[in-house]
Amino acid sequence: MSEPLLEITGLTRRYRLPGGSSLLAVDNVSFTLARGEVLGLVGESGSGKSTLGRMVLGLEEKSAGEVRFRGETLPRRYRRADFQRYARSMQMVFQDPYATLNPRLTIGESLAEPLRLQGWRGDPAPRVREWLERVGLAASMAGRYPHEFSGGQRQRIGIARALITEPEMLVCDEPTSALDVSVQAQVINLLADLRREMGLAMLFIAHDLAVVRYLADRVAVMKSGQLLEVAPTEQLFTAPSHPFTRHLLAVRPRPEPGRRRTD
Amino acid sequence: MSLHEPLLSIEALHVHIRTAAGIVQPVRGIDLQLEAGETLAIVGESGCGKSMTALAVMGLLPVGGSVAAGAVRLSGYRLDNLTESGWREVRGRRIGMVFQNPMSAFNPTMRIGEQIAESLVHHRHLDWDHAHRRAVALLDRMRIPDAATRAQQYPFQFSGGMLQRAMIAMALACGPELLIADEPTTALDVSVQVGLLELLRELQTETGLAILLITHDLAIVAEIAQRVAVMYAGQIVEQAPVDALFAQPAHPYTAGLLQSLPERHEGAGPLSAIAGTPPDLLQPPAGCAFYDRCPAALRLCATAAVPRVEISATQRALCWLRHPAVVGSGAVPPLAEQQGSES
Repeated sequence: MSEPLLEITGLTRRYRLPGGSSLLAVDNVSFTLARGEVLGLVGESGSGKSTLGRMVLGLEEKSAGEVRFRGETLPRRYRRADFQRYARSMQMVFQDPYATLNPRLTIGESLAEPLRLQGWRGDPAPRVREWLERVGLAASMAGRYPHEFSGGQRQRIGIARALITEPEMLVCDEPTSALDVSVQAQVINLLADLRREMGLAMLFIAHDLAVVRYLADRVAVMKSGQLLEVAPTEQLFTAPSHPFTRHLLAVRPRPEPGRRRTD
Repeated sequence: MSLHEPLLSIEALHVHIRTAAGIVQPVRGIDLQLEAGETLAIVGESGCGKSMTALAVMGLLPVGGSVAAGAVRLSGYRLDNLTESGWREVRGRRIGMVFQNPMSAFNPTMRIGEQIAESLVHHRHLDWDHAHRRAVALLDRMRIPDAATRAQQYPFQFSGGMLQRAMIAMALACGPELLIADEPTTALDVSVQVGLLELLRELQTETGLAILLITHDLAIVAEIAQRVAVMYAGQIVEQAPVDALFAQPAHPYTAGLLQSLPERHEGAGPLSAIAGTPPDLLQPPAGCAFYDRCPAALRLCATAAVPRVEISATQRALCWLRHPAVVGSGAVPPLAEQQGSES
């Protein structure tokens, strides 16, 4: 089948500003995502990459353009029932999982929530335990509360919560940028493993180019709401075609101390 | 008295914090020296004690926190036992400070120029008019376009990168000898980060400013530091010139950190990661704090006080594996081989 999992055409988000002017946060963006593919979405803050991810999930209204998922056009503006309907197949992993977990629910309760919303019948406990283990946590941790976990563990919980309904696509918005480098490596390895096991497609939003290079099949570069370039990862890093991509690659700090004296 | 006093000297510093659960020991006996004109980075992961070290040097430990032992000296002048009024003469005047979130460093209801001028009036006893002109000149020096107009604006009217530069202007207003920068670029876009680092380098060349940089970001360390101290569980586990540290890390933790960088990844396999978590600093372990996570730990590492080993004149590591007695016994393979299998 050559039909893409996700097909975005002319997607636009316009915010009206006081005084009658408007801001184009996302400006006429088009691309596709194949089943099981990881597309890295990079750009600086304010480039529109997060807004784009949120529009795909219906968390943000679409001003113009179209998002097709498995051939079906998604609503411009989600109603309650739409979230229920589509959340089963597309989920999000956030930068700060702590902000997305209810502090008064145990981890087990938080993980059971998406199942319940999907009309899961029966005891969610076995599935919750299974997913805690799949993300590298002990099943016995289900009774604990969010504050008892470290940043890396919370991100594992965030990933388990996103994947427990076994979606086909994940939107990850800076999932590792709040983590320390050794923990970041663990979380990226986990995402890579789950992707392989589940044939998961990912829209991977990040500003860290090294992380994107490791994980993504293709990379899209955004600036001021526009998509400047989409290319296979190695091509983008070795032969970027847009001047802004070349600039991003040239200026990024790199963990190579010898380099700065030669430039 | 030694003949030469380093600009900043931290000697056997211990910081304790009283909490409901007991006494936490975020800094456990660290020694550091910083010379004028030098940039030293303290690098480590969250909770390793790097920010507490910086706060202790600035006399800004949180409530319940105290210097339990050791000393902090600035050009030989003892800081750790200063009174609050003594601190006010040091902070801002001899030591400038820059934090991750510039919004929290500025008063949101005061114009930027006025806030910078205020420290000049207080510390340098300039009149307001003169201080204002200096503030504008400083903002201009930080490459803030149209500095005179900007000086009249409020913090919310500045972008993140510009506010960060305004904070540096404020930190440097009184010509301090030492700048302490705690994650100064973490919240900024890459191209803004690079501009800021270049600016710091320039200022350093011009003024001989010493910089103590606190960060978890090894790329930033590589860009700007001359020497690096790696902290883990409240201790400096390795100290080295930046080139040596990246090329030949002497401590297994440093090696593990470098290996977990995606930039260093080769081939198709998983990224290298350090398994496990740091110890609880309510009850620090008797032996090596990295013992549980170390791929090459020996039995003695668990219990015996860890020696500080001189690897070279400028590099030292807190590690039994590098101790001559252990190296001589042939019990330890080279570090590169130890790290190879870890994932």
